[in-house]
Amino acid sequence: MAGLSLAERIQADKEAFAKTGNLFGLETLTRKEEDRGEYEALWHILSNLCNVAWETGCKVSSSPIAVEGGDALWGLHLPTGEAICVSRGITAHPGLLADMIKNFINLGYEDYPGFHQGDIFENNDPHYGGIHAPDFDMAMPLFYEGKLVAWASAVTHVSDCGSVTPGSVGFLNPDCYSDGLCISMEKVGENDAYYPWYERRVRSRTRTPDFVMGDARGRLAGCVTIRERLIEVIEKYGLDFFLEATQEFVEDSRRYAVGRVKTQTVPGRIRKSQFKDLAMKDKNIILGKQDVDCLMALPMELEVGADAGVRLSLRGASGTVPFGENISPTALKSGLLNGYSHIVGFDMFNSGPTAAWDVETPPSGSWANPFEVDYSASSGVAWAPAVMWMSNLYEVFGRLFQMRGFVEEMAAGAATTMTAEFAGITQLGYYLAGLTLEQASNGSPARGFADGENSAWCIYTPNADFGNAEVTELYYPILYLGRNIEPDSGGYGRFRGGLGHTAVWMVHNTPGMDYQCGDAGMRSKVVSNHGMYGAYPTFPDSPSYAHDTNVKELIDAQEPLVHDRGPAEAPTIDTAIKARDLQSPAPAPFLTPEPLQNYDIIVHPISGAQAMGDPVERDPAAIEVDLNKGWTSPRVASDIHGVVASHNGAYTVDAAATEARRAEIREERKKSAVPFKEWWTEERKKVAAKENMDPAVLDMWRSSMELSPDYGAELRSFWDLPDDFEF
Amino acid sequence: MTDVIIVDEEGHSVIGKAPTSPQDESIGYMESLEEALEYMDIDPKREGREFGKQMETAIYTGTSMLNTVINMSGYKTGLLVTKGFEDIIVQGRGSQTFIGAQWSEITHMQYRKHRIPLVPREQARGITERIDMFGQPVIPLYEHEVEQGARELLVDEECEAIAIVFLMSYTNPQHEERAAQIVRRVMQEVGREVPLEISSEVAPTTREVSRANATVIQAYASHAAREQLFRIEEELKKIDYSHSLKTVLGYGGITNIRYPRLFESAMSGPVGGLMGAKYLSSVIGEDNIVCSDVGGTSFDAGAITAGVLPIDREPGFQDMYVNVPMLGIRSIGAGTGTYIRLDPQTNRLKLGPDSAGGTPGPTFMEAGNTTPTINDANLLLGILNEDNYLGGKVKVNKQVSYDLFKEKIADPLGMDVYVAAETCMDLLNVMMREHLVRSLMVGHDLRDYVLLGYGGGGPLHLLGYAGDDPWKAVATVPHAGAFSAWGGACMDYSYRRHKSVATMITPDLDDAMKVGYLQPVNMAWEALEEELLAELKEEGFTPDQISTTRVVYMKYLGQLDDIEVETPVQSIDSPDDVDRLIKAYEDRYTEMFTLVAKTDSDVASYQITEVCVIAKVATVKPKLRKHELADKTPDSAAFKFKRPVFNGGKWHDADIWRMEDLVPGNEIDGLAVIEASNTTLYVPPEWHVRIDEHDIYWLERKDR
Repeated sequence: MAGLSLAERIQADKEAFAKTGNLFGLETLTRKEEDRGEYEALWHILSNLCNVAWETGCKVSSSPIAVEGGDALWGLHLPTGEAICVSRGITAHPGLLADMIKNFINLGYEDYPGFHQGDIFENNDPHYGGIHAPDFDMAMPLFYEGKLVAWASAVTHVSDCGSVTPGSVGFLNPDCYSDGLCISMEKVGENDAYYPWYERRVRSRTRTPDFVMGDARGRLAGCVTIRERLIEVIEKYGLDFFLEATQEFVEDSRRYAVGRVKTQTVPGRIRKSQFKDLAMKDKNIILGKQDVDCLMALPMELEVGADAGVRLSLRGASGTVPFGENISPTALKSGLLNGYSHIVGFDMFNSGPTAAWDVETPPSGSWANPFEVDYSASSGVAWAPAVMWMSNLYEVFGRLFQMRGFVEEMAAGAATTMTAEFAGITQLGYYLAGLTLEQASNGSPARGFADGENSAWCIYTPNADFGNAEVTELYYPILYLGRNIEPDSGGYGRFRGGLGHTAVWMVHNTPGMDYQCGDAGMRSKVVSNHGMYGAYPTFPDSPSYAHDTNVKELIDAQEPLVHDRGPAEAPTIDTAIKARDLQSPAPAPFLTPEPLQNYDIIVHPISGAQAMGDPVERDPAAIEVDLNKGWTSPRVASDIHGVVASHNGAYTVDAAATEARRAEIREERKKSAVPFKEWWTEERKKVAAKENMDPAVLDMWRSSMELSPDYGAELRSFWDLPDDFEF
Repeated sequence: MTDVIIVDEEGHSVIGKAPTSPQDESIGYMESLEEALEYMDIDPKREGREFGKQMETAIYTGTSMLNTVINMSGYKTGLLVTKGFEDIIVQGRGSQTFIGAQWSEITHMQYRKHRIPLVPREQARGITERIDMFGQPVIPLYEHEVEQGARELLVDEECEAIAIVFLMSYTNPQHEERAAQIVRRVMQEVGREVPLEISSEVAPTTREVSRANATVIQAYASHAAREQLFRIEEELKKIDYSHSLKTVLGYGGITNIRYPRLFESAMSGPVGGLMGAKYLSSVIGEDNIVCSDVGGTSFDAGAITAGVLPIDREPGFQDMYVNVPMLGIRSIGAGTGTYIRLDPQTNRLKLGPDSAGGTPGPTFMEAGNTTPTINDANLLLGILNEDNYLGGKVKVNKQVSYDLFKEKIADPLGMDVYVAAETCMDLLNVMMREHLVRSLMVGHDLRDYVLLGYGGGGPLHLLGYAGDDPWKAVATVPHAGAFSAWGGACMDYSYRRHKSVATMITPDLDDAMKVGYLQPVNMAWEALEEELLAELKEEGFTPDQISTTRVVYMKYLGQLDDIEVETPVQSIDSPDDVDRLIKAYEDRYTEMFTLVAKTDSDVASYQITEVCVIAKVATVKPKLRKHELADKTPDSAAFKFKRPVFNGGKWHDADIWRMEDLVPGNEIDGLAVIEASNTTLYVPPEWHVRIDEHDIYWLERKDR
């Protein structure tokens, strides 16, 4: 490879991979086999280096979302861009950072402006592979004796990215021009310093420049830390060993991901559909075209080949939406690393697993590949559809693991992530806009052998944690009135999902505060993820708020306040307080039309995860425990789980009566069941007549079938519809 | 086992051992003391009282608090908590489910589990109230709810202790204090007096989950543990010990067992080593010491800088974060018992993080473990003596190690058994070195620090992980396995108190406002100091015996993590004081995080988030004896024999020495192994050993 430019090397690597099936054409891992000790030592040292960068960078950085929520990452890359190893943090980013570095090379930056020690390159532009504006991706070329030997990279999620609405979850952005401050594949500094005009731009184009610049310093400090220590490492192990072993790490990790698929799954094709709604009609919007309800199809087809190769397809994905919920294919593939790291490639984590699968280019013009057709599509919150699509991965792999007997590896689908962002004058008197950490900790999916855990899991970050309420209060003008576990939020099944929680806030000490109940992967009216193997799904995300309230009077009179969501049929916010403007439930996502004021109340539930198995097979003893903790209601226990319990101070389950009741339920089910053919015949009539279909539903099917003609043909053939049938 | 170590003022020590008696720890304690006395040729029956009379200090360093939490055998505790937070203990925080886990376990996420809560939901009652970040009551305390909650917990739930935790109570304790009054009244009314703990007294620092854990541990475990300590003290009084029994605080200090916040002693396990090192540092005149302790399962390290101990203010303990100052010791799962495996997918070598520890131990012990461990590798390499493992008390079957290592590691890798064993040992050393150099020592220059190794496995691996890094010096001590216990006798009477504050300095403030804005720091310092002085006076100390130190924790506005700054000013009375404080902060900050991390001071805003006061009373400690230096050449009796040791891919004849027969002044060249009953010092060929007049072993590279 000597003498080749980086761009030529990328091309040569691509050809070698196509030819041999091994990254960089590495059929044998020579360094590994010849020097096992040094190979492992180097891996250990480099991984540790990234974590030191993480520690340094996070302490310098200033986003609660980065530091306490873990939405940040530092990495070390090959000269050609592949991630060698990364710090802790969000495992979706390494793919993105790797692709960004490749992109800098492929766009000819090696010639102009050239790569030099101390240069800082950044991107957050989805048109060039960025995921969304608040994720500032950075790369620094690292040189040894004049030769580019590696890259250091970093990403932090900033508190405000200057989009049309305050904060960082731009679900309401009508187009890319409203996504905020845009860094389009730029050199933004040299000699370890940002250009002065970079800081000027941040100051003039984001609402929280001190915080955004604090993050910039954090990214830089981490990367400089990597560089300084890397030189010592190369001196110790020698440059040739370093360059060759680091390539082998990436190939080795590809083999690890393939190996797990080979030993723990079965070959075959498996599909999962999933739908995401955006209920936006008659709401506070930016442009007229947004006065519409949308439904998005997020289908996944996974095929495991005889060689354990994994192919993923999004055939049937619906069209773009006039909101922030569109994502570039590069970002989507990179985001997939996140799910893959939980399920398949969690050891030796780097770019390797991305070469262990093949993602078919999503249909052009769909939410997953918008720009060729709709250049101005917004990606303000590209994560939102991506994480929900990724949730399918747990179920499809869960089924494959189960077939091979790896029950302990099964996980039903993920919880959803509805965000809360606040903007306004804080209690300390300065302006701040940004995310809370509430959504960073959901219930975990039900497992093949046990319930999920409460508030200990998150699809977008392994560092699942909601932090401390007292810390959040330092940043935002709110007081917590509650943060307890939400009953029945983990679906209903033999094993239930881990439960989520409900945050209740009272606005406090501010002249006014915007509440943006945002979409980072939530559902409003439709059931999205369904649970596995006969489980019933959990309820959709359902926040509420009360503006201009009588809470002050209630406090003065020492009357009961709002501390929980309460029963769905009589929410506490409805019964306990009065308000001029009571939105209960307020269909999410939304931005409050006018700023909230002191003593206003917000009830913001965070989803639990999905369940597994038939609810009438749930151990009655587990129901008794849940009843006594208040984690399920007597109604759910009796109607859904068929449990007969009596209450005398505490709940006691009557085992015999429960068995009898369950037998009855099974009989009732048989009575209402019909043969498939019969159901199909009746249902076909409705489909053909487009009966009872909302315009959002029709739009979705129309675009799905149009953008993926073979999918359309398959759909018509399933329902036996004429070849020219359209929704 | 319960160990009793007796240290005389000359620094001599003996150790007695007896089975632990969890129901009544005084039984094991006294049996163990008797055994130790026998080693000193003192007849416990006849001369025990004479000995007891002369005892200066008896210190309990055991784990009764820890055991209470592990065994869930504490007081049934009821919780009165801000309404809406009744699940605070049950729910905890997501990150509590992966404290100490390695990254691959964290990303996998599948096996997460919350610990069994110390307070189940059924024992929590919510109280309507709220105080804000400035200490302003926003929602008054709904006293009727306190009364009802207290009654339910005391009467219906029959709780044996009550904890009160309200949000932001560290800014203003009035709601917690009023609630406590009501609970006490209810106790009288229902005729049940139980211990009552409030969070603003137990740990007045921010982060409610960690403060709640602290308060609940104090309520749940400290009273049960204190009963045990009183029992031990009672037995000691019977042999005429005339002082109070002491115990060890997690931040390195001793205290009377009547100390109110006894939960601060829950995490005192690794304290002895650091405190021993600190004392050693004062004797040998070295201010900067990196302490490293290799055990069977973990590698613990902490750095003493300029004589100041590292402090972690929110350590993880039994899957809980706890607001308690504790010596900042960082651990990784790497030790002599660490398992060696191959990854089934990639055939990569994996060390740990789990371990066989002492039980079932290495494969050569034939106690049920068939996975090779690091000590199997040490045995195969000739570094461990098969006839002298744990002083010869344990039988060793080397062939088992060989066969299993060959079958499970060497053959699948296509490697020679001994080369593979050395590879594993080197890899473990790299992991430990990385942990020290790139994790613990970020922002510090190794050339300023002495690396001290101890613990049962410390001397075995010390020179491996010291490597060729530029430490100022490398040292160990004889009887390194007992160093932590010895360190327990080297502690001062020391209390520390932390309190969160909310202060901010912005660039637009004029001089008077700058000083004015920082007055809460002065007030908190004074309040904490007054409190500590009162507690120490209660213990019978006079003001002239007590010295105090003041600390602030500071950060740039917006950052979450603050850093500890030993303040250059004793109180903040002038703009110059403020500037000096800011300078001290920025110096420390750029040292830790590189210069590029600094904010320009014309736009920077700073926050002081927490203050701390340390009050100390010097105590009698064992003397570190100074010996005459003997010849460089050790006495011939110290030389045992030559044994083949595998190093650098080849077998060499190594000199084997008996540590007990080496004396100050002796010097030894590697390749050598120095054996003692409880430890083995391995000296690779590029190292040289010199024993100084304090019997400290200095290890020097021949090439420097």
